[in-house]
Amino acid sequence: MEAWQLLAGFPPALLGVHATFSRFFRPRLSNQMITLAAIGASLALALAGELASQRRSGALDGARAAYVLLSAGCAGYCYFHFFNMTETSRRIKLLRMMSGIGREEAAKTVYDLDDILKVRLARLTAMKQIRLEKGRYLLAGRTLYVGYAVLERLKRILALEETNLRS
Amino acid sequence: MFAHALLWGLLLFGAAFLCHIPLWRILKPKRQILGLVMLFGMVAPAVLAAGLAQAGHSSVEIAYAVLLLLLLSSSYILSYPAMQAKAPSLEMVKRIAQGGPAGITYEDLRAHFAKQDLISCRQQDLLTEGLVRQGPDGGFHITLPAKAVLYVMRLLRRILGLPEGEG
Repeated sequence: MEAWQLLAGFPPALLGVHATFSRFFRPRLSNQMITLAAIGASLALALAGELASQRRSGALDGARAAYVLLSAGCAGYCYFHFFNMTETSRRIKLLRMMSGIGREEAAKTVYDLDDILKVRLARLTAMKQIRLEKGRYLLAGRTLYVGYAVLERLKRILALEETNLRS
Repeated sequence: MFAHALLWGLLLFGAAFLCHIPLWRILKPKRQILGLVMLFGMVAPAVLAAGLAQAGHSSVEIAYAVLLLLLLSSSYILSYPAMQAKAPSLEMVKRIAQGGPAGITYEDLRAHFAKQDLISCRQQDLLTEGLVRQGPDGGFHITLPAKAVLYVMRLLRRILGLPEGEG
């Protein structure tokens, strides 16, 4: 099997794995955790397919395996962000509201500060990034905090601070 | 072949990023996402393809290198909105982390977020990026690209068996 055939098969395989996981694991796990698990499983499948393909051809090529894994990893990362946009983005929520899809429900959620905060607190808790103890929120995981620190560094490099102040 | 594709794909992504820093620090395009798509999705792949063709690489090798560059670029472009706009979830994680072992209360968090800041700037982003236009009546109307994005997102969530995202 050629590398491009493996890579072309990755997005539909990921979608299939995600759809299966989503039906199987909800609501026990958060949508983000399910998506990450689906991406991980699909990457493992892609790597297994690549190694099996190389074994059949009898020539081991580490660079090709690295290429397939890096490309599929990027595709998985893009998919995660795209899925997250359907889940968490205020811009998408605003677009939905403006297009009249779920107008009343969307308007309520988008424009109510308490709803905005509570939806996110529940999501962060489900992702085990924060926890509530005696009425106070505490940091429980470092993943998002590290992500925040990386983005802050990039913002400084690109001089985006001014833009952020208006948010 | 794949070693070259890996090397040149990564190198050109790095070069495009190095061009991106001064361009954004000095010019900061008004339509930033469009600017990123042009730089990372058009100029860099064209330079890569032309350079590799000039050096006598095969068309398959060029295609693999360009594909990797496009996947890396897409990953970066999809991460960019979280940098461009202050994401409430990441901001909440930062605030909670700043609370240290004592954590912070919901009221502390609420006081930090100004209601209009969470909405009006995102509306402005939608207008700037051409996803929404304002009619003579002052109302917002979504454009064709935005309708396409919404359609794909609704389709994805339907395949996954999920209701509309909470925003």
